[in-house]
Amino acid sequence: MKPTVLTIALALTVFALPALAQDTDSRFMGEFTENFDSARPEYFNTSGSALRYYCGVPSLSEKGTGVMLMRINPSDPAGAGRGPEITTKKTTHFGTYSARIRVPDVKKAQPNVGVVVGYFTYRFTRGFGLSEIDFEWLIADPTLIYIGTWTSDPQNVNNLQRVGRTINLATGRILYTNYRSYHDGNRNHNFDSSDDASLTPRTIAPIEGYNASKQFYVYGFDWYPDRLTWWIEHPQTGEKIILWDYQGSTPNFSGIPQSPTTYMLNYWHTRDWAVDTNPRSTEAPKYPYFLEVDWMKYQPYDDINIEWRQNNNY
Amino acid sequence: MTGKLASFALMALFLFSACVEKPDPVPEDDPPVIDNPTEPEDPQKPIEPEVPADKDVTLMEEFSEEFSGADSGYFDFGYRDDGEDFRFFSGFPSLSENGNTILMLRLDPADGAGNGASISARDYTYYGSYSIRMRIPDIVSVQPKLGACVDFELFDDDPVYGRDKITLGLRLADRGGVYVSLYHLDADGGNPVSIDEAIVPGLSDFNAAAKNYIYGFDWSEDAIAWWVKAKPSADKTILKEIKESIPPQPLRLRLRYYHSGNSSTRDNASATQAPNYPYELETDWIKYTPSQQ
Repeated sequence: MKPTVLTIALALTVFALPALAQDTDSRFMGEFTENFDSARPEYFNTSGSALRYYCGVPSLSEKGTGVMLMRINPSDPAGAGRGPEITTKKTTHFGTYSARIRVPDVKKAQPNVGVVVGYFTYRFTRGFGLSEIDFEWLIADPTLIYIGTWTSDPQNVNNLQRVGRTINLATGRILYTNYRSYHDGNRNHNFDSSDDASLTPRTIAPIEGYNASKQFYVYGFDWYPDRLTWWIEHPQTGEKIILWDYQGSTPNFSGIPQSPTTYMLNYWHTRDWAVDTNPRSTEAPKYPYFLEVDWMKYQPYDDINIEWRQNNNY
Repeated sequence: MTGKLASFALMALFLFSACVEKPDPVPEDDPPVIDNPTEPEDPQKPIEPEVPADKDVTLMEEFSEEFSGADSGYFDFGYRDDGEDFRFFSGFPSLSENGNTILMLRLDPADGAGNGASISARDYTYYGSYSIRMRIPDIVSVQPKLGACVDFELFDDDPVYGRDKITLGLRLADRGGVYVSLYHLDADGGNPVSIDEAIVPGLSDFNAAAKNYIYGFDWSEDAIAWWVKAKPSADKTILKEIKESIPPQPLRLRLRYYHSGNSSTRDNASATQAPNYPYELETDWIKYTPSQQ
């Protein structure tokens, strides 16, 4: 084989490798890290009053760290999106998402407060339905983490299904891993105990003293078309601790979102979702408590995203 | 000798005398509240101190501290020595006014009674007008029995002239009141004066937690008048004026934000709880204009 032919063959091979594909679709966010260094976020839009957001300010709990603070307003009505909320300026898709967050410490001030911190993806696309992946905290008990997804029935996008897991990370106890769907009136169902694809890991080592309001933690998830892994970095060792490695399915549909989404973080009052450990925790906030966000990161899987768009004519 | 002459003589003594830096005033316990303060034998009696030969007082010139940066040109912040202090945030965006910057002070629930965030002027000030624009946090829904105070005050504890304090205070548990006080104690512990009064300002819908107000006091050699106004262009609403027991010595300006275990409010004697959250005080600016005296 002549060297020139070899060179051409190698070049073709290299360019054909999907891992090297670079996504240049202007509808989508490229890789970014939002450090909240400026007066306004660089990659996110904010909603509502500017007095809900304090960007590029010193942390209230960590020396030398600049953060974005969100402030909930006691007069905000109940409901997701009624409080401070940021959303990426363009859509995102399969990739690794991570953030460093400290939720407010209200245990003494208002133990029965009904407030949610949501770190999540969310987008309802015509023809594809809902694409939502959640990390959530109910600040009345910051030892618990709620993770899960919301997706649409492909046949009728208005019919939704939830898969979720709730964990007490201070004890390592998995409170439940379940799903619910419109098919039977949104009743909760546990996954079959033999369903490893839906129940991995079955045990989680506790993080001693875990309390999302006492310090910053790094949370993240890796989103593939057939696998979704939620994780947290151990604050001392940096080890990635897998909270849920979901590759399962339900009697209805998989539960793993497929369509593009947007990357969000919000902070809102709920009057009907009490934390599992305190059924009275539905009070409106009585003070504008601060939430701290150090950074938010997005690393898209370009090759997978390009392929998905080609296959779905998106 | 008349009181005026006595004051003049005292001021002359101050200006004449040499000196060294006085020790920084240390936060003292809340002064004892005397319901019926003992009237000094003769309020007009001139103080005839023995001024230390090495005493010096540097007087500050007119200033306006806007808290637009991380540090202040006129005040020292009372940081803890261990570096882990999250009570002072200067140059912070306003919590209530878009585009404005403030000094945000936070309570630390771990601080004991009498302790909190305090900023002190770098040097002494004297007769003149003092004002501050600030808003207290609205805590009445979340912790109505909170014992927390804001004191905008002049203070000194002088080995010769004794302890003097002129205070305009707010109580977080009482959004509708302003607390004015004057306190004196001779260096030897004699001649106590303690005037302590809670006043409801004659402003419509006054609520110290709802918005920023401008609070101040004018101190001259023969009177102190405490006042408040809703905006810069408004006339001063006088809260109280006194013409006796006027402190004769230069004092040091400070702003204290702290948990008080015994300073209950005018209508809530049980408002003495330690803070359950680091409720934020916002200060837009502090101004000092010396009198021409």
